[in-house]
Amino acid sequence: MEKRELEACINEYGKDIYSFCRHLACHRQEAEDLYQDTFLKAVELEGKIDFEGNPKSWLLSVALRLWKNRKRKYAWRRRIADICPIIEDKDLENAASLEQEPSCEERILGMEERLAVASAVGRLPERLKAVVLLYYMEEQSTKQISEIMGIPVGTVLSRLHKARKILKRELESELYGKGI
Amino acid sequence: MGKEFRKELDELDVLLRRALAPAEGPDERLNQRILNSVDGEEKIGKRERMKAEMEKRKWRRMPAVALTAAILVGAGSLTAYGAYRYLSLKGALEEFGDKGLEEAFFNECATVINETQSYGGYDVTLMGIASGENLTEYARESDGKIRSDRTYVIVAIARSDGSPMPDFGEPGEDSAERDFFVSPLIEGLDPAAYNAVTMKGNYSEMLQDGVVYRLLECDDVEKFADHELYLSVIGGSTFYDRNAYVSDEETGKIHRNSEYNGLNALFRLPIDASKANPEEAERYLGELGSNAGAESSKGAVKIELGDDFAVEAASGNEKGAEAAEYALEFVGNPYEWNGESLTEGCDSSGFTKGVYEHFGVSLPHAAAKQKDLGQEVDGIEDACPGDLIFYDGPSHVAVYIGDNKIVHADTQLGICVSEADFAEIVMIRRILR
Repeated sequence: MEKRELEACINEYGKDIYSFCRHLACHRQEAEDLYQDTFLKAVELEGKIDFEGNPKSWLLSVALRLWKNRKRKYAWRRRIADICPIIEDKDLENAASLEQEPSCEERILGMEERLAVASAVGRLPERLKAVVLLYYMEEQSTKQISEIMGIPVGTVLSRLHKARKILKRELESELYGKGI
Repeated sequence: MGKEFRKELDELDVLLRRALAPAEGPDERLNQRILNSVDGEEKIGKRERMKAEMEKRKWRRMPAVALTAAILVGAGSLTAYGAYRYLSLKGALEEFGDKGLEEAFFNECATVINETQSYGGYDVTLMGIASGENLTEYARESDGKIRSDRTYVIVAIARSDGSPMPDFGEPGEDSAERDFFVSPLIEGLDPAAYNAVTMKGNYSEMLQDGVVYRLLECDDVEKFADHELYLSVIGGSTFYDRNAYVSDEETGKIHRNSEYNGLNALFRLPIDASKANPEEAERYLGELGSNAGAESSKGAVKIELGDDFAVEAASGNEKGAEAAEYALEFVGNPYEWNGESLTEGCDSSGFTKGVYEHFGVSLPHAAAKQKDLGQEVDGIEDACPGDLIFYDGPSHVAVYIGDNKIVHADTQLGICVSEADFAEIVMIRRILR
């Protein structure tokens, strides 16, 4: 991949991939490393990429594979701080600034909602979390997810179902409390 | 009800989609960093950059003083020469640079660890380990022998106060400040006898931004993965220091000596126990034994007892004589590291343990521990059949059978009779009366 191709890739998919990394990894630093390595790996794996096809799915699968490989590396950190700070102050600022000029009240509501959902998703077991992120965040079809994760479509569906059940319970107050 | 449930799920879907929609992009600087690391026209990946880094390294061999340690530890001087020949192989390290150890580390066969410990004014980070079968493609040829499985470990050492480490300087110059001994250790094996030196260790290091990076390679330790595996880093020394760690004689587990004055980091190596290969481990130890004479009796010779041999019972020592007779029943049975079966295989202390058990005496499975039991006997001339004779450390133990002979489990010969003075006797103990 040449530099300008890489640049195009980053412009096009950077946000999506970063968001995926950010929710997979617990810490910002881990997420940034993962994000960076995903693109570097993409450069390295040049030739195996079908950019005509679906680069986003492919980049997601690279990110997921890298993440699986390094989870162990981060495991020791978790032992020290077993609470995952999914949302940091900086995220809150960013989230706030990214809302497109909504009213103050709406902004706060939106932030609270994002926080609640992110932490509920963050608490899901790893295998369910990846499916949820790929489906809802990255808008991948169940078939694409099955290719990215290397599992049958049926398994994707059953994991999605299981994750939904857990999330519904966890997010009850979000669903009813605000009368969505 | 069913319809309502469906509706809730839809609401959940809406909520999830809205709340999880990618909102935050990466920092622009992060993107810039990625782009900068890829050169304008050439396809340069991380691997190439690593290679460039590797070339900046200074390659160093295990210094001669480590070899002295091998002699002191192993007692078999032949081994030390063997080790020296290997260590003096020129270009071996550069060669593995070429053959893409970086590749091994940055592809999937390595475990990245990044654990830091701070002791004695240093921060030591165990960065990663690569070992096992999937590294065989990186194997090298040396001494005309293909040596396939090796373990590679990378550690970074920095001063805790942040000041830079001194440059390496010239060989021979006083260098205690940047001397480190990095070695894997294995649960149940005496660290003084089984470390990077005896496991044909070799290292290279480089200094960058005041941090020393060291790449250690030695014989593959994965085969021992059914035991706890450690990585030790000792400061101010280029060989193993007996004071740095404590080996629990009961369990074989190795711990830091908290009293130790200086750097004595100890990491657990996260190698999956399923990678263990006990047969290979045993064969390897046998090989080390025959070379280094590490655990075993060096150069013990098997003696066939004549038909007329009989254990002579000294008065008051009938039980000991019985034990010696009993021990002789197992001559011809195999040696097995860590084994405790008199018939299926045992090591030296497993053998004495098994024999004594028959007489209602329970011994720990470690020569070093057995030597503290019972009464000391002054010399071989005062020894009675059934006494335990200790050698080498002690890491080896035998049952005396009289007439200057012993029966023991030898790594090479299995359970056999040898001369009592085949090696220097460090202790004789009378436990049975």
